[in-house]
Amino acid sequence: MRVNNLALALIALVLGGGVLGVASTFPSPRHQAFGPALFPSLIGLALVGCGVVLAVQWWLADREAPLLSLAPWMRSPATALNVAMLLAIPVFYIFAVDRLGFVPTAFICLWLMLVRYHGRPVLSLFGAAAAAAILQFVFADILLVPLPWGLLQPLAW
Amino acid sequence: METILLALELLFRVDVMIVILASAMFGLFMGAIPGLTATMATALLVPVTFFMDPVPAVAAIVTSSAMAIFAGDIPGTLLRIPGTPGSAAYVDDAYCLTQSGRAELCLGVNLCFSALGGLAGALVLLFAAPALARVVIRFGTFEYFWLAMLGLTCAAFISSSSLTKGTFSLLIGLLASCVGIGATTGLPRFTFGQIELMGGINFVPAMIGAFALSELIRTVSGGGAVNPANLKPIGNLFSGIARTFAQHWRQFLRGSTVGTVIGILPGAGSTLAAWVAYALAKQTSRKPDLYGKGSLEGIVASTSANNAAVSGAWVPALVFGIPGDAVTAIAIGVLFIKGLNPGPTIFINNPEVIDAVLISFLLANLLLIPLGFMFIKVARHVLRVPSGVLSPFILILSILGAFAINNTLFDVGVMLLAGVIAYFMEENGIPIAPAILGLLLGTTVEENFMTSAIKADGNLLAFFERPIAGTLGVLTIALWLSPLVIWLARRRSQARLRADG
Repeated sequence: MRVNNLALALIALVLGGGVLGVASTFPSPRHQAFGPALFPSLIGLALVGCGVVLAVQWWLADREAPLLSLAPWMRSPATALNVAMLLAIPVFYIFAVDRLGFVPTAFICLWLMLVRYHGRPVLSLFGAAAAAAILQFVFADILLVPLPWGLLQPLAW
Repeated sequence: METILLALELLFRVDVMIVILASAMFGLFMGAIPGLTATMATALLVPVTFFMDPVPAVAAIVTSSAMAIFAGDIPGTLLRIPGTPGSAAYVDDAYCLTQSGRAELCLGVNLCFSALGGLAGALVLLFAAPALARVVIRFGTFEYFWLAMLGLTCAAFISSSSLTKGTFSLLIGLLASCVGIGATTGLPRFTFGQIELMGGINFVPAMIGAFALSELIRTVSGGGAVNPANLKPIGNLFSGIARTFAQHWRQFLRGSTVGTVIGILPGAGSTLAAWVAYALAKQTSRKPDLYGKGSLEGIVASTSANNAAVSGAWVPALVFGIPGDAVTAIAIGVLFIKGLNPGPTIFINNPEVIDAVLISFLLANLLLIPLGFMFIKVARHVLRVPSGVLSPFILILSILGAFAINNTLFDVGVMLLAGVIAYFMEENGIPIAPAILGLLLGTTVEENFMTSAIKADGNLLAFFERPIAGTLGVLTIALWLSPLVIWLARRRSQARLRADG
């Protein structure tokens, strides 16, 4: 997704203005001239400055460019679904891993992606199951990362 | 001498050697697969390094990045698809050589000159870093503030063709570094009541998202397809290398020097080093017409440069704690986790560890020749692994890597958000490197700025009173003003041309 310099300028201005607004609510220390708002305020001011320069650049050289142009993949349902799945998988993982456990969650994530990106559902089934078990062993048993067992708690090794 | 012996003892242990060999194979694999970069390899290594001692942890990063930068040349030569951005500068020359039946010579040159370039950079690091550290040890908060500002300014100015976009990226990183409990005041900022944000935005998940997830988005959206049709077995790689060295040793020296110097500049990594070395070689060549059509000297210069830059980037990372590129930015995070605060004191407090790290550079580049040779022999099989099989595993490893740093799912969300933002930024010509450096160095800049301002009791001139601080300050401000000066000079010369008629 491409945007022109005017859109980037608006983002910088809104971000900079927001930072200045939030920073102004930070309390000032009693016996000190410089408080927690100083550094963020300088960043906010610089962001506003950046926004102004980007707006000038748009005015001088970028006025023909559309405000927003979609990437080619966004127009194709197949590739859009590829990207949507890639972004949905971490969200699914966040909500599912504590309930289902790492192995079932990783298995579901891997299988769905392998089928979508590579095909071969039956072969992917074995690949996803083996990979989930290996990852559980490497990360939980060797590297001692506390991965939840969830539904598979009775089978925990 | 005693320190060096201790360093050798730390490095030449069976477990460390196994780590180095494993990370070498990992780096070669990651570099050879188009779409997977040296930075992504390093980001994915981080969760594994948590559980290692400092020396194997850093040696793993050093080895995998050196291997990955070289391995990027393999698909570039065989398929005209650079495995890493660092190999893009000379991909046309390399592929032309393959088409004319000289793939072995090209891969041999890539392998040998990558190793030689890396060794040249490592030697500079070995001698320059400790010498610089002896000077830097005298620095106070004023000097550190200006040094960090100079590094960040260079990163913003160099990493993109648009200065405004580079600065925008840097400001996003600096803003992200403000989230959490304030550095000097202890008050929460931009946390919006979220307990997870009190500790700030963790660098590792943000880094994994910015470099791994954003690349995966590009791959699954159709940008990273590989079609390794008709790859032939590779013959003798080393025939003709001695003659190439005799003919093009000047380009090798120039490429290694350019690579090391560019590597030292914050934000300018091996990709820029390869492009600059290539352009410089073309400018000074007797056969500039051959460039882009199979010029061996162009390949010699730029393949030496990108590996030299890998070592060069560690000079500011170790001496100042300011990363030279994205890989060293991650490595600094690892050093902090290991309790080794990068900066001049690391050379005093942990000399044996630093010596072991420096020696690991030489070792990694020496190992590049046998391991790279073996890898080239099997490369045509590795290149057949479809991206549709790799992407799911990389995503799961990214999720695990983001989770493992603090064992919190919040960091998986940070990784996801950072990936989407980084993808949007790169699509719009906004470089990621300055944002990452801003996130990493933001706290250092603010801490040193606030401490200096309190010391000076608000007198801003005090920032210029000490000689080194003053010089660095003037240099930084001159850099800030340089675009305005250049713009004014250009306008004046245009006006003069118009007046002349």
